[in-house]
Amino acid sequence: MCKVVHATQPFLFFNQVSPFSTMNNTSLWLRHRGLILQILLLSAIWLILSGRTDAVYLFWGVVSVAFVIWLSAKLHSIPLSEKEPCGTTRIIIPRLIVYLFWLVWQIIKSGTYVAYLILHPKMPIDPMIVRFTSKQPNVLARVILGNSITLTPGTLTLDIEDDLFTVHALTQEVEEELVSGDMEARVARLYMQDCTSEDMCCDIELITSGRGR
Amino acid sequence: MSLLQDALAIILVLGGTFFMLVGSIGINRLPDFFTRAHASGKVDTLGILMFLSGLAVFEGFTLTSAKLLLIIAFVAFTSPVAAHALARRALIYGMKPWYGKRKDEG
Amino acid sequence: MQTFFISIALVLCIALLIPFYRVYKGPTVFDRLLGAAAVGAKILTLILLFGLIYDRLDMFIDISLGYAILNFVGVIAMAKYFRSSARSAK
Repeated sequence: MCKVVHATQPFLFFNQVSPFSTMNNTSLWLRHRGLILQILLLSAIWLILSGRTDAVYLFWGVVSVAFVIWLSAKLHSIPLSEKEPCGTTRIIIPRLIVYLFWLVWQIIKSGTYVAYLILHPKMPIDPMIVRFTSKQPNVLARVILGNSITLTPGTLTLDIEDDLFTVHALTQEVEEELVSGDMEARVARLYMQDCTSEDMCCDIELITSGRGR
Repeated sequence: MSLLQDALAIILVLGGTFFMLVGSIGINRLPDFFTRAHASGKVDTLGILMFLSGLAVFEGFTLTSAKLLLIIAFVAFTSPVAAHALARRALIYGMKPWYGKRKDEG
Repeated sequence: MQTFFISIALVLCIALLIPFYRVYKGPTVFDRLLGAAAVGAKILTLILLFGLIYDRLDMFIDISLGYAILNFVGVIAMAKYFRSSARSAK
């Protein structure tokens, strides 16, 4: 991962990234960032799927993009959990991009690792269930962490209740790697938290036999 | 250029096919549901991603490869979610995971 | 290149038939669902391969996109259905 810039406030970070933009511009970008990105993504998807630039197609594209944005604006009023609305803190886009590349590398690693386990004649697996709590800044970070746990070598998210993660691990090594809290800290740093990997993962409980439950 | 492109495409397609085959074998070979979900959620995902990127390399820089990239992004995000949803329902349903032969005897 | 794709399609057909054993044998419903999802994932790539063999990839790619979405939605809907049946069994 790249050098992590420890920033405590969103304004600080974005001023570091684009020092030439004026304050007004930055705040406008910050306030409507989600909307702008959504419009850009939806337009890109429409252009890819239709593949034409006639006036009629572009008109219907604009109409459908507006319709989808109107629909998803209604979705924002439905909270993902009772206590907090989704996305109370802003995600940092450069770190998200770096994180996505790291995730692709993790997918390749995990695929080859599980393939090795499957093709090994003795199949050296030692499955266990790990429970741990990880303080994540908001609901979306928990979703990202759960999905990333599934994609990293030998671990599969079974359940997420508030901060309690239930994870199925294939072998002892991947369990130790998971519990070291490296990935949890990575996900939390996406949301600009200053944290070390040691205190991201606590209350670890291992279930390695049928009587544990 | 074209030769290099074809070679890369062939390597990616072959690798993707290999991983999908391994994923199929794993779904049959692994002992219980949760470990099978590993095979489906990870090995198959990697296989599909490699296969589709191989086809995208083969197509070159066209609209079709852009659509292929769209499918790649979709599969990469949804395949682990599907495995997770199934495994979570199985856990809620009350399915007991398999903890290895050695511990069952002791 | 054509023969290469056809042989890859044959290998994929074998990879597609193996999970059917799990769908047939599977001790629980979830095993069967997992096998069905794996079969769907392989069919997704087979559709694309047939598009390449027939030289109409631009048409087949839309089909496979729809197939990917249907596969995902189907698995999610099945998972939801089995939650509700477990609740009523209690």
